[in-house]
Amino acid sequence: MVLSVPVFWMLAVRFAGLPSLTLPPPSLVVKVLVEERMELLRHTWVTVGEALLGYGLANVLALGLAVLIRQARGLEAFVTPWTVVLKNVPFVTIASILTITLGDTLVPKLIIVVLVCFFPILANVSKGLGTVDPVLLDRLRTLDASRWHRFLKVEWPAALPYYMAAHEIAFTGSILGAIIAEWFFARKGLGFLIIRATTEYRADRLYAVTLIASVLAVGAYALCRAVERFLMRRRGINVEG
Amino acid sequence: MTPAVHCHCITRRFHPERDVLRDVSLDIAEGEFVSLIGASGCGKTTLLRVIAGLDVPTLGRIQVFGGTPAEACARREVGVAFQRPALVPSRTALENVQLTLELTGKPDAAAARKVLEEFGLGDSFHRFPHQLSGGMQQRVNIACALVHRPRLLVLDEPFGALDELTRETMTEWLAGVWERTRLTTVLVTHSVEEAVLLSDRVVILDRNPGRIAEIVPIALPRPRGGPAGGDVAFDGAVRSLRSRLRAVVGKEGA
Repeated sequence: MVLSVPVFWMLAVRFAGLPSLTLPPPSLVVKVLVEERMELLRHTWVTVGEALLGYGLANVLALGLAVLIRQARGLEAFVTPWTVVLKNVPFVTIASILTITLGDTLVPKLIIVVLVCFFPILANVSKGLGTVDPVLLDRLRTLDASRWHRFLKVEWPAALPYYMAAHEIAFTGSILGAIIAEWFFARKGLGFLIIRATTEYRADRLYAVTLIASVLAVGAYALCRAVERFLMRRRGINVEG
Repeated sequence: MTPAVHCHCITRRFHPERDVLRDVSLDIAEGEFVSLIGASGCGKTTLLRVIAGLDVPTLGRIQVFGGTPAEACARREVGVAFQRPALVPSRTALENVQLTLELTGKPDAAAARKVLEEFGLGDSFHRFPHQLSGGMQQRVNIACALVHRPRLLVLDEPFGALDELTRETMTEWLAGVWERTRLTTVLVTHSVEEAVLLSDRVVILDRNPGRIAEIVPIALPRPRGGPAGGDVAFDGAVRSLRSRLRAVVGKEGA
């Protein structure tokens, strides 16, 4: 896989007959990556920082809400319509509104990342918390277990695989969310570099940024899978892939 | 002497026109093993759940060790095991047994190990539920129900999902466990042999509505031979209980 990408790329450059201004060869992109590494690194850190911060916030909010819904069943009826509406409004339009309202600050970018990450975590954790076997809950009732103990020792362990699965979408999505947020109004970050490279017709830089963003997203996914495999192995379960 | 379990005119109504249990009165003495048997839908499990504090009767009074079942649960005097083992999938056998101790405020790793060793699971401490056979899972399940030394053990068809041979082995194993502990036990079962092997008394429940049709004392000396033992007295008790059960079920069907 790692080798096939540059091979296909070089073949495409050779046979497509497109100028390097449109389709730069891998060597040119590598040159950009080396020569502009400090600038690229600086912008990458900005995007990674926004992604991580938003992702952390999304975790806190989604986990908190999932637990609250589980504890107070009436809350679900109130929250569900709101989550459905928010989830289905195209977040690109929300990003535009946020940019107009809040300008080039960290807040609109964080909100976009949170919107991207929040729903997979909320949906998966809510589902996971509900998968506890009723006979296990009966056993806990006869032992007069507190709500906290029920959550900590039974419900959370049941939700953990679902929570981990959510990260495969949410963690990689946080990079995407941060880049999209930067598209609209930013002077820093990979999203800003993409816009700048596009307006300057710098395909080599555009490809370099795309490569960095892809490595970040794939790395995030691989990290999620590694943590998931580690946790599952501790439970005596072998996860393929 | 106050009975361990006192059911007085228990009625459990799920719908306005349908009583799953009606006017069930039953006393269970401390240290007694009582089985509930009857056709499907006769309210055995409902009665068991009422005794365990998992359900509340619509009418009547239930007392467990002189208080409500909920109070008995709060004093950690009740242990339950259902047909489907109530085990946490992410915990090993040992950790599942320890869970009971953690929840009852008696974290004692040695007690958990000891009970599993007594149950023949000394080499399965660190296996997860999905790595155990059905019979082993059920033994862990019963270990979870017993490890905190409850005064009342409530069993709902614990071997119902096992194959015939495993079921026989497990019933004989449970009889041995009970001989050692002499815990007040209420068992729901569909198996006449199981009821005869384990019980001091067998309560036959009628259905539509669920009520006690007959209480059959099992006067056989312990330890009992079991279905494979070729014990004439045991076989006679099984035949007698089966014919009484048939009489009740047949009367329903008539």
